[in-house]
Amino acid sequence: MRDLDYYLNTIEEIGYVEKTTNPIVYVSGLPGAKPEELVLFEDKSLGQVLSLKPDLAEILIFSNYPPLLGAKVVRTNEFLKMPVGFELLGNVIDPLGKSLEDIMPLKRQASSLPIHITPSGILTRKTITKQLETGVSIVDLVLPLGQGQRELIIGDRKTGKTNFLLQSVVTQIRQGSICIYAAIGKKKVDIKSLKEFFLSNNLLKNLVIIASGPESPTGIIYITPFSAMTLAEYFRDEGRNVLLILDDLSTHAKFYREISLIGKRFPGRNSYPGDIFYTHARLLERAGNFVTPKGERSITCLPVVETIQGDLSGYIETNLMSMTDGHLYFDSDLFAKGRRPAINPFLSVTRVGRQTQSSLKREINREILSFLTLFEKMQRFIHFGAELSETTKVTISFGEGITRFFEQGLSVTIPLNMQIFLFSLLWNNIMQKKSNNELQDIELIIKVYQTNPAIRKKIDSIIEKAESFNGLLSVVSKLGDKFLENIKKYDPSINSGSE
Amino acid sequence: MIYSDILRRVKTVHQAKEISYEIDMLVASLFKKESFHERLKTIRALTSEDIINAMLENKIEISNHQAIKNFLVELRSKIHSLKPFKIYLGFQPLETTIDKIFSWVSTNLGFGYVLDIEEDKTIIGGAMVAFEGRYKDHSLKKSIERAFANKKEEIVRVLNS
Repeated sequence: MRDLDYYLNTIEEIGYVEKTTNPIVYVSGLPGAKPEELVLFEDKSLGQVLSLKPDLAEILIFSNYPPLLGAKVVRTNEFLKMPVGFELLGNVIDPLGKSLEDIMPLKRQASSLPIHITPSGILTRKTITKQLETGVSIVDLVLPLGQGQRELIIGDRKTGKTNFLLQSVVTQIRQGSICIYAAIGKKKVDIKSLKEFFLSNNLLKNLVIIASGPESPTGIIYITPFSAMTLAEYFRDEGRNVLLILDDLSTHAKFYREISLIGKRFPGRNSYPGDIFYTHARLLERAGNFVTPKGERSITCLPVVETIQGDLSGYIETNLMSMTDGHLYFDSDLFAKGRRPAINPFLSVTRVGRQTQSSLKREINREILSFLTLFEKMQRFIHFGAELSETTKVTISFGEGITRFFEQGLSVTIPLNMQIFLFSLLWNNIMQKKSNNELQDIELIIKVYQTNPAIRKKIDSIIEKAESFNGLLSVVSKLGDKFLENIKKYDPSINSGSE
Repeated sequence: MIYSDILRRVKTVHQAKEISYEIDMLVASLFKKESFHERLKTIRALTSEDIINAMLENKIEISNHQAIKNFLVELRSKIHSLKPFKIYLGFQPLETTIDKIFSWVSTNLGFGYVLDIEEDKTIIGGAMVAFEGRYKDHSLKKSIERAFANKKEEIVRVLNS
């Protein structure tokens, strides 16, 4: 960015600050100003043209301190850009690309991209055909996501939404994707703990955190998700699949409402401005599965929205539901019952995820969903106690086993093939018969799968060769008993201890 | 109402502010014990003669305080609506210079403008003009900078010879 005199002499237009209502400043002059154009103030701070009135331009400022009345303003004939590059990986940056950590200043990036662009047209898009693994069994098996899908993460605060997102990030980075985590209006302590989590899991080299805090200028908070999307588009064009997390859009909507109300826009439902749908839709429309010169690449977007007391009918919530390809609902009741993750499979939707599944996975998906529905119905009879029929008791006990199978701690991510294999063991009743402690055994099997290439290869080939769920079950029923008996031999912790 | 004679006397933003202030004082004095005529004698930015002439021109009776008030309030709003013609000079201009500049502005742009003159010694000479958002730099500083940028070698050669 050049200095004020440069723009004054080249563009030959000047404006003066007439009125300030932080974060909006009204400027007279600047006859050629365009919407979304960047302007430079005398104090070197930046602003963006929000709207134009006959005699004044409405400017959104990106500084906590508004310019003085009467201060000079110049047009720049430029639009808001953010520096992009692989150098940003591993850093916590603000939406304008500046490092938020003072210890190490960022290297200067070679290129920059405009933050606000028109989403790509239909010709550059391709049908979503690949599944996006999250490492969370209930999602990968029951509510699968596709690469390029926009799936809303919805739920009350403190229901485990962030934990699920972190598990997805861990799985995706291990599979070679790049993750961008947009922390919108988050506290510094939360941003720090996020970074520490990624650092402790050695994931930072493929991750960028774009953060703004509640103390950041409102304009900066507003552009945070747009910057994150711009960076995601850069990595997509560089030939990488990207997982983009927008945490969270309800905070973003609140800050945009603040800007709009200060700008005296007509308030609509819940005082949100009329263009809040457009604002979020033009952001989410930039995600998807694309045809790029480097092949088919995707931006999978997981926007988060916070509900109040499980109310799914809120304005922002329903807006976002209608512009995404489904939602995962984190149920506070399930969370209170101790279910982790507390995803309610009956209230969650995935619109494009199932089309990415193989026939085997789709079959498993159908089996689980129909069984869970049956289990849900059966649970109504629980209070009859001793009067329950034997079949009902078996169904309920089996259902509890399935529910336990879907229980997953923050530190555990399960590869998809392993999820299918474990589920087959469970469905065949092998797990229940052979195991004294199912959860411990499941953890052990996962550990062996992740550390022993031979076992991993064997399980993967069983899954890949299976043409139907029944076929897989018959293979697993033959191998399962022996596998469970021998699994302790492969325990890396025991082996390393004995050495 | 007819104010053109008074408005033509307002040449600078500074004068406009002074007149506005004095009009406020006059309006305040209308309904006080202190006589309007006494207050009229103290005004400086305009002469009492100017105001009385304008009132006579508009057929306002000196005893009708409400009519005088309306006249003064409207005059103040007319002064506020004068558009500023911002000009940066390298020196503090004398009254004669201001008159010359104002006469140029009136001839070329018509009435309805006031000069907003700001002193900026860094421009050395000439002027920078900002009007209705347009900006033109006709300063000596810029001319010198341009000359140095375009004819640097020539200047260095002349200086060295």
